[in-house]
Amino acid sequence: MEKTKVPSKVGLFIFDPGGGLARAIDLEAVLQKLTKAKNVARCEVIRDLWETNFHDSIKKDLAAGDINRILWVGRFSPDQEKKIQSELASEGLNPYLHEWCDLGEQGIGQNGGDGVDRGAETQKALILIQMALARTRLLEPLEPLSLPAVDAVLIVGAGVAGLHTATSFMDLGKRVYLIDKESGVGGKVASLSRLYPRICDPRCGLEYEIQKLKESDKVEVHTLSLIKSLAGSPGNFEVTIEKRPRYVNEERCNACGECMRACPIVIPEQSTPIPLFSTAPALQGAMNLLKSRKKAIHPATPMPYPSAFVIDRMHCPPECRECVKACPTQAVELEQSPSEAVFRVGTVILTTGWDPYPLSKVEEYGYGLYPNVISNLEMERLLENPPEFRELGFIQCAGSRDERHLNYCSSVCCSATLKQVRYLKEKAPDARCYIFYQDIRTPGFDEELYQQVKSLSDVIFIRGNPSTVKPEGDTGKLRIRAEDTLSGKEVSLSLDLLVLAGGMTPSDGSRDIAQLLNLPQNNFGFFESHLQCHPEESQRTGIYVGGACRGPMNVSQSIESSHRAAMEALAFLNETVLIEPTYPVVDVTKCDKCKRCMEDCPFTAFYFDANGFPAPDLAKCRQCGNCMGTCPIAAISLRHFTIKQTAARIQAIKASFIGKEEPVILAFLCKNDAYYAARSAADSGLPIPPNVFFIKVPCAGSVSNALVADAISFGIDGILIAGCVDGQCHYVKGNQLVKTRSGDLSDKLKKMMIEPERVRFENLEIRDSRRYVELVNSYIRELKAMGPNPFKV
Amino acid sequence: MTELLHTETIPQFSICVQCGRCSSGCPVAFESEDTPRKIIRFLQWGWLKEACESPFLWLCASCQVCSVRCPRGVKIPEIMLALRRTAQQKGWIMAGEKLLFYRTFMKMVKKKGRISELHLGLATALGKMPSHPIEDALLFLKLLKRGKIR
Repeated sequence: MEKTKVPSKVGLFIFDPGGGLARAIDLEAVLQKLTKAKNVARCEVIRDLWETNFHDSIKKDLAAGDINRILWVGRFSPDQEKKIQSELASEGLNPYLHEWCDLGEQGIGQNGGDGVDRGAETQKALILIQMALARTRLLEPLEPLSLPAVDAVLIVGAGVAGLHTATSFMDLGKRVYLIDKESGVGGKVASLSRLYPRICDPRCGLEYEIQKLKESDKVEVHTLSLIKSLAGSPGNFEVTIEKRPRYVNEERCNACGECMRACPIVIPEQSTPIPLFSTAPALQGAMNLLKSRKKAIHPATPMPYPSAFVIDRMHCPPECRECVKACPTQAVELEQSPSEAVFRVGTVILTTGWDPYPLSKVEEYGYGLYPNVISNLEMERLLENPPEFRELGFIQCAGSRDERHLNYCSSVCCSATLKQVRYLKEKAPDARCYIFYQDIRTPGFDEELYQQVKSLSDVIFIRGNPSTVKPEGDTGKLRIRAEDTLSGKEVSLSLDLLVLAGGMTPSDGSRDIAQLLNLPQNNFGFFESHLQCHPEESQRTGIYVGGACRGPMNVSQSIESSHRAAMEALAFLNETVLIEPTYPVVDVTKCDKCKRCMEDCPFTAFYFDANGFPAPDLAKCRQCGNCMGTCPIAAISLRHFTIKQTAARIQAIKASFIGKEEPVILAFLCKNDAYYAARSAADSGLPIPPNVFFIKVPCAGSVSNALVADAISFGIDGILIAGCVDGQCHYVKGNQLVKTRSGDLSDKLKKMMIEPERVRFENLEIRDSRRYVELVNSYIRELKAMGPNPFKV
Repeated sequence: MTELLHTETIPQFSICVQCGRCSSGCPVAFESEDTPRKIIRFLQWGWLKEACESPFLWLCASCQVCSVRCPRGVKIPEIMLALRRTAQQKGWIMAGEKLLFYRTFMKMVKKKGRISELHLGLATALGKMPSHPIEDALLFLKLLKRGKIR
């Protein structure tokens, strides 16, 4: 890397097509000053950007080595910038050796020159160009990196979302590892009776996907498996999975079922409620239906793919060998032990799904206490063969939208109940259904389902939730009392069966994985993401979340969501991962290994290198610069936005350019919104006081305290740091980080005998241009009252 | 109106979603046209007078079933107590004789510092025309026999 240092030779071009700049400021004086500035090889005002002579002369200078960096002053559109960069790149000028200085966005020449002090404007423009020049001198040529990547994906959870995503990846020609902790694929949806809105059988869709998997050699399905560890970085993950023993050889088993006939052990699939009172015949039938007749050796559940049987050894008597004897293919291997497998994948998609809320916690409705109080998932199983019930009740929001249980709406239960009622009424038209609800929420086209059910006879909607459920003597029925809040009358009903619409919670598997991979979760335990902009990105690069592990959603939404996750994951599924060269670099000669960067990185991109120094994992890094901001000794710099470059810019500000009494403010504006607010303030002609200079930063969190202290020591009166509104930061927590650091900063300022109020933090939204101007003006007044910075000369 | 209730540090009734769990569990709501949910609804509309005039206020036994069942954590008995005080202050009381018990109770407390159940029962029973004099007398004897009234 050792190169002989070529001195910077800056070509400085002021683009002033209409002469507006010359009217607003004394351009001649500025030019005179700049021509004499250090490192400036060429300084011109240009009127036409695309004039051939001009281009030829630049190219000639570049070829001769007379200039090796260019500072463009003026307003350039992104297209123009790109075109200039690419044109000059062919002449050997690295795209990172251009610097763009827009005077207009800083408020120069934007309000027609009325009532503006031309001298001050000229001074400000000169300082701005000098700031940009200071940075231009320090620019370095940079090349994008490309890291090798594996074009395979790991999908965790083979439910409906995982299966659909797996087949889509398969169609794209990517290698897929699909794992699930159950013995078969299909997830929760396989246990449903019907899907709304078409009232179709969910197994039909699942079977179709499984068929595709079977035919492909691109997909590897591992059931009874859990992630054990995830190492490496996006593009090159190394996943270790742990497989529980199946006790049946997958290659040998031909699913003939002889073993199941021989197996003496019937296992309960779930603990059925204990009947407390004599049960009615219809109820008895229902209970029998809910009980499973699963043997200890049985086909894979929920759906028998892989087709090999599986043994639940928990229930086997130790000496029993019936299945071994019965198996005609010698597939039963009771000696199997847990095994591990390692894959290399480029990206991980989590579709770990949901679990039903434990309804026994909603004590007042007697779930688990009375046998004819069942959950909506159990109702799905009853629906296939509904026993002869006359009177059925459905309680919506059982435990949902309730601060004692789930303080959110699970968004699918209303439609699910309506679907159940509709399907039930097809099979048993005489049944009377009472639906107790708080609000019926059928978003979008689900409204049709609502209207269909509304038009059925003997379906009664009661707006009001019951408070308790009591058994009615020993008739086996339930007595339920509720207020029909619409009529204000009390209703008292005797029911054969009560269905509780319980909500969705993140699955246990999701919680375990969140812990294992250190993924942030929201208050309810679902995976956290930036819901508006990157809903499927977990806050760990290369790991995406889709489906109901991200929040309650129905089947079609979860397929959509997992596909969105897949779309974002594709970036890591090429042969290479492209890295912008503007990544952070740790200066190991300065670093004292305090690990602050590791803690504060919103994407946990830092790891220890061979010598114990923190180093960013470039594939994980999103280049927000929070590490640069947090490093207490300024040892971390984003390339192309280095601490040195920014410090040089700050140094170029002459703090007393409009007199010692006038305060000068330096603003650090987040490029995502505060910058746009300031820019549109200038563009829409709002009067921007000459006292303020701003520097665009990648994130408010990337502003180092060292730079702030620097600015104060150069005599700048006030520092304004503006970032996003809390909870809206694109880099998760940059704006919060900068606030937590303010404690350190005010200590530092107090040591310098400076008022801590000279540094302010503000939240600005993208359209807050008026607020930006008001903010600056009020800050100027405050600073005037405070008096000039004692460091000012 | 809201100031009146807020000064009494009442949890906000505006968070009520009118699910009706309070009313369906209420052991005394069957006695009245109004239910706890309706009273809260009156308050949401700002109909303080209607809320205060409701006889339900004086039926509420503060048994807390409603607040235990409430999914939003509204402290309904506290609201009822606040409304009773407001009703007294403003004179918005429709069910006059229902107040007799409370007035006798308070009078006794002020006078003696404690309650004599016998006196309280008799004073309330005699203060108005008893609707079931014979049943009441029999109940009285029963209670006396079991040592419930001393």
